[in-house]
Amino acid sequence: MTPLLQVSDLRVSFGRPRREVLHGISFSIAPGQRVGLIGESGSGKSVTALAVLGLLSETAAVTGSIRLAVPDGDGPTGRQLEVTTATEKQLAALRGDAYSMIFQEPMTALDPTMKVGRQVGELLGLHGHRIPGGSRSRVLEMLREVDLPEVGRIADSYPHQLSGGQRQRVLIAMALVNDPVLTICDEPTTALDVTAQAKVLQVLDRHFTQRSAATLFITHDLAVLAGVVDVAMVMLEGHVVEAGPIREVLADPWHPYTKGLVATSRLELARPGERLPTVADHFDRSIPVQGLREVPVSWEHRARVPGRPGGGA
Amino acid sequence: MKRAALVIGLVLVAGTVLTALLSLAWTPYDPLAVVPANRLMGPGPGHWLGTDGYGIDLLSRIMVGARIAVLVGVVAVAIAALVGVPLGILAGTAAKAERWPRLVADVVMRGNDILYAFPAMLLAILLAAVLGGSTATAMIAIGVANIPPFLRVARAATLQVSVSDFVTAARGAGIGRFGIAVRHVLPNIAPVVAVQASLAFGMSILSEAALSYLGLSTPLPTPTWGRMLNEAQPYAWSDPLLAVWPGLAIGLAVLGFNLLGDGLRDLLDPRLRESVQ
Amino acid sequence: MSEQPLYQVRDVVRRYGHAARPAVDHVSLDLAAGERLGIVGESGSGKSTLVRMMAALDRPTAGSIRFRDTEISGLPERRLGFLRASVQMVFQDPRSSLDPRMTVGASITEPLRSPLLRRRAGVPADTRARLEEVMAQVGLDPADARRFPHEFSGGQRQRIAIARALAPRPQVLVADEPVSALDVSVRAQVLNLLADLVASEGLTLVLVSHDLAVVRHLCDRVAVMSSGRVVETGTVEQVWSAPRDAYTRTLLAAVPRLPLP
Repeated sequence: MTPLLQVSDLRVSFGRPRREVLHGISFSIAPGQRVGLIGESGSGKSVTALAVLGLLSETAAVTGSIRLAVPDGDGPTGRQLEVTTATEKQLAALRGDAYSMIFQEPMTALDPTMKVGRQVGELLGLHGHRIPGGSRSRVLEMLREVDLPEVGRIADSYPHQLSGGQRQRVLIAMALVNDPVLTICDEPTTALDVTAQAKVLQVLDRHFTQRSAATLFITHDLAVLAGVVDVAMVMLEGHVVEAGPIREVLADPWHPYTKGLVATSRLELARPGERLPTVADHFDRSIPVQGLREVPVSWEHRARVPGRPGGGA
Repeated sequence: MKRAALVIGLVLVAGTVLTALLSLAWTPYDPLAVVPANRLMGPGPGHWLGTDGYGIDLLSRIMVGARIAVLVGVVAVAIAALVGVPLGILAGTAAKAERWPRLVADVVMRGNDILYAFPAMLLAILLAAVLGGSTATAMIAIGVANIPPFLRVARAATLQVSVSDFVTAARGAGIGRFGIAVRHVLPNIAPVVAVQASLAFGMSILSEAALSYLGLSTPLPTPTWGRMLNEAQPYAWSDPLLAVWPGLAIGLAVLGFNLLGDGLRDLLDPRLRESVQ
Repeated sequence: MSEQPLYQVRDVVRRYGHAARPAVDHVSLDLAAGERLGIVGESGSGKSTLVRMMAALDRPTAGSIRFRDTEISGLPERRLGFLRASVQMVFQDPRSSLDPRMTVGASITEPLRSPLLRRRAGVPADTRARLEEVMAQVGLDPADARRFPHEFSGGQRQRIAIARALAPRPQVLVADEPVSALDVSVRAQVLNLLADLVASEGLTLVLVSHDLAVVRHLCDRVAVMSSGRVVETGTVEQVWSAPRDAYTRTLLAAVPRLPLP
């Protein structure tokens, strides 16, 4: 099957003199596949997310290739759009429709002067979908789908009248309302507290399962990722350093950084009063990072940096 | 790019200020000397910018006009900022306080609203009636009329800074209200104040032009840019250059201060400083 | 434990404006010197408001907070010096808790230079020496004191904030979600640092967190808050292994965990 997204040798640099922040990453996402991208701030994970939908600022220099499958109303067409050379108009036709994005900050992403029901509804109209029963019923259905209570009242509320967790679920409703084939989630729960986070993860998981939709889920928290995705890439300093089925990555991390991340994510295993395991226990940051050239399209096998031994540093 | 804007702003502002200073010591011709024989000469080797309807050298008048513009701008903005910013910080820091500081803040804000509603021109006419029309009258009138925007901008920025954890942390470190205002609030609102100052500077040059037209500012015969524009009016079709020169002077000075204000905002922010250098 | 507790919080209520429900609703608790208390709850549970009142950064609407047997809830700022010198706070997000226009050194030494704390017994007088000392203690290079916060990573910035809290040699450290704004990859390092400092300085700790696993690592006692009230208290092990309250169980279940190896 044609992948939805095919990224090859993607390099992004900013500023003058040019500073490269993504050093040639390659991966692909098949229809229905859930891919995790884990990394700390500055690792390049958000740059990757923005690049995929052509949302980087114009000061960014992008080389390599990003191909998005262009579906029509019924399914795949076999056509692909090269994002790095596409026009804004071509991209706009895909964004918010077949491809959508959920951002981290639920406070600023909604228009404070517009009722949230209308904001969700506008996206329906934007891509010209004909909705049996009218857009209002589709909006309410969508709000219900993200587990919001009293959807009628919420649809008629302004953003400031909702809690942070509710706002994020409205944003998720907006991202999912046109039934995207791929949703990019950029730290969708980082600004939320634990109970709101649990709710959001549950909503996303259910939606992706019901619609067999694909996702690129980005986070710094391995524990969040573990419950959502099937396969994962570990990103460090602009390189993908490890990739494979999430269960294998967690059970047998290969790269020292991943080893450290897995160890430090298991706070509850440390006995009280005992020193907590840190990333630095496994990984020496002074050693230059070497990245994977290509992540196998099938994702069936673990991808490793060639020629370097595993183990502690 | 940013750096270029800052440099252009600096050059224009420095040009205006240096021209004003130079005019104190030297102008090509006497800016007041009427020479009927030289009426309405175009630009040329003798008079670089030409002469006006009285045969007075335009360059000399532009130079003296720069002096008035800079003087009025500096003093008016200083009055507005020195009164408006401290009151704005006071109103902003006390807005969340209890009992009397909040009462003071409310009184300050209502007073500000009243001043805002009061037309600057009316204020200038009243002041001129008391003090007589002079450069000082214009400076005070424009300065006082500019207090409200400074106060509002400073208050809004202060409210924003006040909710930062670093202000709470400073309280936890035992820093008092005044210390927080000076060490944390002022440096953090300086960028918006700088931008407001550059805008106010441009506006005050324009206001001075209007006031001098009404005879409420610098009295005759001292040339100002505003007066030169007005005097150019009868020649608008025959000799448009008469209006172009003072217009250009006003435009370049205002642009210079705006660019400088923008550059200053970036320079005052350590997070943006690297991109400027 | 037979002596008077360091903190006595009695029936404290904090109500903001005309909100229907108080942010903190009749909370009482004691804190003994040397004790390490965790306060757990979701956002909006009132846990941050409670500790801010204990640090005299917010005032209760009703109730009493006594520190070393002195009522602090009604005291004017100028008479809070004794509390400010003894109780220091670390905030959640170091991007917000450090003034972006102040050098790291100036931020860290701010408590030492404040009129309220300066020349107070126990507060170090030699600002420069103390700056180098605390920077080294939190694992920062004292040569970096002249740099600005934005030049540091999130974890390093939180170390700077911790150094500032340590500077006046406080007795009590109040840490409000000190790792929840940080990447998971640096979380353990900051927690280890806090644990080391609490042990080496003999600090009394109040740690606010939504994650009982974090609290479990640093504290011996825990209070669980929900909707402004304390719904469960006990030793950390007791609450961790056998939570009695339904809300505590929900909270424990909501924190995502890696599947066990």
